[in-house]
Amino acid sequence: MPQNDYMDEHRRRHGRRMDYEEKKRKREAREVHKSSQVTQKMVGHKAKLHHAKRHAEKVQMKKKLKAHDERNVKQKDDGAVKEGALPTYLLDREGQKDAKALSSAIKDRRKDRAAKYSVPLPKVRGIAEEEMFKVIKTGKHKGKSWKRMVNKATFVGEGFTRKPVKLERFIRPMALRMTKANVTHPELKTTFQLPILGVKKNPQSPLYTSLGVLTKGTIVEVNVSELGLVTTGGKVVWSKYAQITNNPELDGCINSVLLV
Amino acid sequence: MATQLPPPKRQKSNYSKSLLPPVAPAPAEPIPSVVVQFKNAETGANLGPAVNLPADTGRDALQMLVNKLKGEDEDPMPYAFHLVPKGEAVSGRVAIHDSIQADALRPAASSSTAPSFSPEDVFELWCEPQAVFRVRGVGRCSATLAGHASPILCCAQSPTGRYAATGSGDATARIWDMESETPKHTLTGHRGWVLCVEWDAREKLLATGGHDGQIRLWDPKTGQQAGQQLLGHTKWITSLAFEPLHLAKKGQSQRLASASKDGTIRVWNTQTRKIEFVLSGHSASINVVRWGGENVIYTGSSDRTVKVWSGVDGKLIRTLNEHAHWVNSMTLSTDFVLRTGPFDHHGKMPADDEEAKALALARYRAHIANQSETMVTGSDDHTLFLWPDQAASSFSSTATPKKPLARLTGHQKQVNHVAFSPDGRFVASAGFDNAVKLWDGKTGKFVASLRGHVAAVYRLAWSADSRLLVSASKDSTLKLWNLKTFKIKTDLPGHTDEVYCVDFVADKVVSGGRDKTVKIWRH
Repeated sequence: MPQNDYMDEHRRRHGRRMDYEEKKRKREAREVHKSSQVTQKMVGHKAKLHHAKRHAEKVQMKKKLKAHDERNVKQKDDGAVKEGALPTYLLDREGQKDAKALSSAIKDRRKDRAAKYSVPLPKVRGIAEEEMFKVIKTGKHKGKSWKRMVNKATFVGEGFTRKPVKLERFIRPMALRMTKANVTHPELKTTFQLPILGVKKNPQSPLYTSLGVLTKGTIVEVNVSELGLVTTGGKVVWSKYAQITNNPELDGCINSVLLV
Repeated sequence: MATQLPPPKRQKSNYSKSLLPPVAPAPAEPIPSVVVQFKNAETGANLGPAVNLPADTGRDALQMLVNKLKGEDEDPMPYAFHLVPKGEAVSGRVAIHDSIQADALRPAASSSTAPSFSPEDVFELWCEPQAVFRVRGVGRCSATLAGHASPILCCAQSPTGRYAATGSGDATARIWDMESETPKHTLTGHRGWVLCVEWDAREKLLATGGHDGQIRLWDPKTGQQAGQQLLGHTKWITSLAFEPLHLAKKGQSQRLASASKDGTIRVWNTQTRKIEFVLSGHSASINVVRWGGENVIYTGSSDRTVKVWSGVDGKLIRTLNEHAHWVNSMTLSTDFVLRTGPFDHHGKMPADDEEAKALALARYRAHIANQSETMVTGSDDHTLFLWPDQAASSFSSTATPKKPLARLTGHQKQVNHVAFSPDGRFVASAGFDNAVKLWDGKTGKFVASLRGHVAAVYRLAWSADSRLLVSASKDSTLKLWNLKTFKIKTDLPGHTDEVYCVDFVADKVVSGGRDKTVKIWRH
């Protein structure tokens, strides 16, 4: 390791060798031959890595050459007008975009009538009752088994109070209760975390819908008020539906796709 | 933005209280008689002696009295009345719509906020003449015109309201016939979005400015381009302004000032299509240009300054730097009269150029007789400034034109558009905080806040009689505002996306937006 910059210092005082440029040019000219010989002789894993590296380098080089070629060629203007027109007063505010693009994408999509009732996950795996519920044995001798505990994530409304233990047939554990969902807009590829308002439909069974069970494929209603969408009448859109795409009980969160 | 719950069904607000049927008043209450001193709001002078009136004297009767006091029995004028509450702490004014009894002594709605008057006071009733004609409020969409293939970015009706022009993101502008509400011409030529359209005051020329930095002039009669495009700007055109008609040189058409993102203003001779001069001095994009009636050019820029230039030789007169952020919008008290030029509400057509010029000059003189040309600028710093007359004050030594008359604060977000009412009494401003605010055009005092939009308000347009205001918003609606109660008069839903532009001439409103359709609204 060089201590201090004595090499630079020397160069500054005495200059380079007289044939420095010449030797450098020759070395560079020889470089390709040398690397070719090395490449040809190389075998095994080392060669594999080396070829991969050379390949990537060559791709980059070709791209660069192409870019340089294009630079000086006058291209014919095809007269295409840019998309996404904005009035002058919004032109400089492009960075201040919000979820408004969402709204128009939704509206464009809605024109396609066939798409209106389609959902991203049309089919779901059937879930057996054994998987869904755990039987809770009750009674003095644990002989009764009318009580069930839901094994899946659930949504429980805000004002919910549990029934007396004696009457409560379905237990929805606190640990699996969910209040928020990560909602992705399919066209914008943006994700927001939004509060859940309710369970619209669980495809497994109407009972699960009423219990608020959240499984893969369930349609939930989410609060989109903070996205600032508006209807044509100028009202703020308050809620929209989304379909769950993951298994919330395994992941500990809810990922969903907005239905547009 | 935090998640908001929807409001409960029955909101105990002043507004909902005002919707309830009025409680029948106790019949036995005597009507007090009050002493009223009429005052002329323009000059501040007393109109006749103070008179003793029953407090429930109606507005029509008050109007008759004022006309009598002024000696205008034959040709009575309509008047608007308001009271200014005493005391420094109270701001605002109390408009009298029915009678003093109903509006000042016993304000029905929002009794907690209304300043209190007692029948013992001398009521100084300020009278403002209103326009002698009345524009009917628009209430329905009479035509939805498709044709543009891209969002509509700008629209302008011709000074007479016979045509409307729209510019769109599909690089075309279109002229629509407003009488039959049909398409008239498609103006193709631009190589980029058409960002602004502007009519000259005689309706003989239409100028469009594009994102390609070109300006094109069109003949609205034939739909043909009037000569070659005007080349010179290196970036897109943000605003266009024609020279006022009464300033045009004899035998010449009105010149055109164009402002661009590239930081220059170019003044063009529209006949020879040559640049007369280039105004450079701004260091950032120029957002708005206006050509005043005293032959000065006003520009507002993103470099936070407003500059005043001479329209004769293009010299800089002064720079106004009070704003702390971009200057977005500007309006002159003479905007309406300069825009309409020789055309007034009688619908007469001038025979030739000379007559038109004389008419325009007469209208302009009549307008500045009671209010000189003041300017209001709106900015990204959430405030507006009211500036004194910039042209006339250069002749007087006492004037301080660089000092704003007032700083208009109240908006909570950027101010996007400001507009003087045609009579110059009010200024309306639209902001990204969903509010439209109304200010006094002479003093800059706050008058009212018009709330109702649920998203940013983009554009405003006044009716010719200054009694109606229409606003276009991001929430896809237009709203027509009642300037007596400061509430929504008519909600105009119909667009399916953001409304980018609106214009109100005669009794028709034209609007266009991101949904690619032009809508015409009428009575």
